[in-house]
Amino acid sequence: MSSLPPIEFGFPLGIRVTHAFNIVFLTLLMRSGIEILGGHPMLYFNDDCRPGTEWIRFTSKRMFRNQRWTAEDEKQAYTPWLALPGRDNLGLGRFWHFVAVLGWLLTGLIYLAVLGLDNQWQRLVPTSWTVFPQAWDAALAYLRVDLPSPGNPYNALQQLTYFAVVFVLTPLQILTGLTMSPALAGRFPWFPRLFGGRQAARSLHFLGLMAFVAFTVHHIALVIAHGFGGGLASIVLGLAAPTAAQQAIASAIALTFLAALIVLHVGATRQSLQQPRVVQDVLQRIIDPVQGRLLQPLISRQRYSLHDITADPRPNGRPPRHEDYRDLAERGFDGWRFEVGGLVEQQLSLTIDELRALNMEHQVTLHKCIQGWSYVAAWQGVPLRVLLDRCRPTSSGRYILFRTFDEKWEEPGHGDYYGVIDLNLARAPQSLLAYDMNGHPLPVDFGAPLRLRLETQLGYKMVKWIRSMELIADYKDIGAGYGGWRADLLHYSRIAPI
Amino acid sequence: MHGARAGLLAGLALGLVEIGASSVLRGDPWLPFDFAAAIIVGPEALAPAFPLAASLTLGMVIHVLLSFMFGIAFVAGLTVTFQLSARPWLILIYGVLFGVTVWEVDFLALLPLIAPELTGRLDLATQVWNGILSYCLVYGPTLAVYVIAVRPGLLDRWWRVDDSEAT
Repeated sequence: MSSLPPIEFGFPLGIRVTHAFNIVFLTLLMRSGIEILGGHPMLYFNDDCRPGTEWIRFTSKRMFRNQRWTAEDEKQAYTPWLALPGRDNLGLGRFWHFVAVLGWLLTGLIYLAVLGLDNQWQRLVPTSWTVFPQAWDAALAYLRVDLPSPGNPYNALQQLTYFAVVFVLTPLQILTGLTMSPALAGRFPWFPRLFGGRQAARSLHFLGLMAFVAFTVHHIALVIAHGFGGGLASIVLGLAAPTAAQQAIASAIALTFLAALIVLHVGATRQSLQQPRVVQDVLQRIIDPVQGRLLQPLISRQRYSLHDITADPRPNGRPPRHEDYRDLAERGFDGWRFEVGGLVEQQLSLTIDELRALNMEHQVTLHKCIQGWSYVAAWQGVPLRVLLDRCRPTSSGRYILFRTFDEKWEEPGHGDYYGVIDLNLARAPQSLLAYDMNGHPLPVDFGAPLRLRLETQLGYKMVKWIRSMELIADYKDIGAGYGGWRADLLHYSRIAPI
Repeated sequence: MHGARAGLLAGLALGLVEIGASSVLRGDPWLPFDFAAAIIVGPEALAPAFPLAASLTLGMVIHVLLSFMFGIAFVAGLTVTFQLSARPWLILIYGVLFGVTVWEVDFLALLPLIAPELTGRLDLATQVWNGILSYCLVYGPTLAVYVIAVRPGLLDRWWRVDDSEAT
C-alpha cells in the first residue's frame, strides 16, 4: 500500500453525489423491503415453508387450530413510520422497491465508474496482505478508544469494511434479490440453489439488509469518533482540511439534505396511502417495461423431483362460497363445462373428462407466492397451447381473460376474481391448465376444478377456480382495467416475473 | 417495566464483572465507579484524592440509570420488531449484538464527545475485559436471558392455537 500515491481525505464530486443518492435509494429500499417482508413476515432456510420451520418471525399473529386460515391471514400490516407505504400495501411496496433498485443500481454503476476513472479505487481495494495485521492493529486501537493511524486515506480496518460492503455485501444483495424472480429461477433453476434455495436466498437478502443497517450505525459512530465535523465537510464539500466555517456550511448542507430526504419519504408514503392509483400508474410506467423486456420472455425449465414435493402446503385465498360452486364441488364437477370463447375461430365447451382426454403434461415445480412463501408440487393438466391450437385465436386476440367461480366474498363490492395473461406466456412451456395436484384431482383449496400454472410468474397470476377462458384484444375495459383483480384492487402489477 | 427490570439485572451483572476485572487487572475494584463518576465531574474523579463514597454513589447512579435506559431500549426494540417470542438462540444473538452496539456508541461515539479527556485513560486490557467483552458477553446476554425467562411462550405451534389461548 505504501508504494501507491497518497489520496487526500476529501472526496471528488462524483463520489459525493453518488454517496448522497446512495442514502436516498438505500433508505427507500429498506422501508419498501420492510413492506414486502410484511407480506409473509417469516423467514426460512427451506423452500417448503411449513409452519414452525421458520427461523424468525416478525409478527405476533397466532392461527387457531379450529378455524380455517390461509396465507393471507398471516400478513402483517406494518406502520407507515417504518414501512413504505405501510398498512399492508404489498403491491405498492414492491413498486417502490423495484424503482429504488433501479436507482440504486444506476448510482452504483456511476460510483464504480468514478472509482475506476480516478485513483479513488485505492481507497477501497487492499493491495497488500499487510492489510490484515494492520486491520488488527486498528481494531486494538479502537478498543483502547483511540484512533488508529490513518492509512491512504482510510486505516486498514476501514478499508476492509468498505471493501466488503461495496464488493461483497452489495453484489450479495443484488443476487439474492434476483433469486426472488420466478422467471429467473424458472429459467435457471440452479441459480437459487447457489444460495441454498429460494427461501435461503430470501433469508440472506434480509440478513444483508441487517448488515447494511449495522454498517450504517457503525459507520456513523466511527465518523463521529474520527471527527464528525471534518468527516462531514469531507463528504459534503470534498475538503481534505476544512476550516470551522466550512464545517458549519457542510453541516447546514447535510441538515438540508436530511430534511429533503424526510420530505421525500413522507411525501412518498402519504401519496401512496392517499392516492394509490396515481402512484401505481407512475411507478408501473417505470417498472413494467423493464421487467417486461428482461424477465417476462424467460421460459421455465424447472424439473423438481417427486421427492421434493411439499407435504401439506399452505393454501392461499378462500374458496368460493356460492351455492353453484358448492353444488358442483360436491358432485366432483360432474356435468360442468369449461367454456373457451371470445376472439377465436372455434369456441370450445369441454367437460373435465374431455379436458383429461386432451394432450396431458406433468410438471413438478416450485410455487412462489408474491407474499414470499413457496412450496413444491406436482401438477398435471392441459397445456394452454393445446387449447389455443384447438380454438384458434383470431389475429386481434392478444390476451386471455380467465373468469372464475371466485366471487371474492371476503372483499365484497369488487367483482369476481379474474386474471389476464399475454398470449405469448400462454404458449410458453409449462403453462398449464391444471386439473390434478400431486397425483389427485385438484383440491378445492388449491383451485378446483381448474387452475393456471405459469411457472415464470408469481402465484397470484395463476388464477384458481377457473370457470372460463376468453380471448380478448385488450383488458382496459375489464374491471378497473389493470389486467387482473389484484392489479385493480391491490395495485399489483399485471405481469409478475419478479 | 420488563425493560427496566432487565436493565437492572444486566447492569448488576455487568457491574460485578467489571469490579472483578478491575480488581484483577488494575488492583482497584472501584475503578469502574471512578470512570462512571468522571463522566459528570471530570478526570478529577480518577484522582486518588477523590472521595470513595462520592465516587461509589455517583458511579452507581450513572451506572444504574444507563442500565435502565439501555434495558428499556432493548426490550422496546424486541417488542416493536415482534421478537419477544423469537427463538432463544436468536434472542441471545440480539443480546450480544446489542452489547456491541451499546459499547460502540458509548465508547467510540459518545465518550469522545462528552468526556474527551477520559479516552486516553483507558488501557487496552481494561477496555477489552471491562469494555467490549463485558458488554457483549455479560450485559447484552443477561438482557436476553431475562427476556427468554419471562416472555410468554408464543413461538411454539403458533399455527395451532386454541381460541381460549389467543384471547
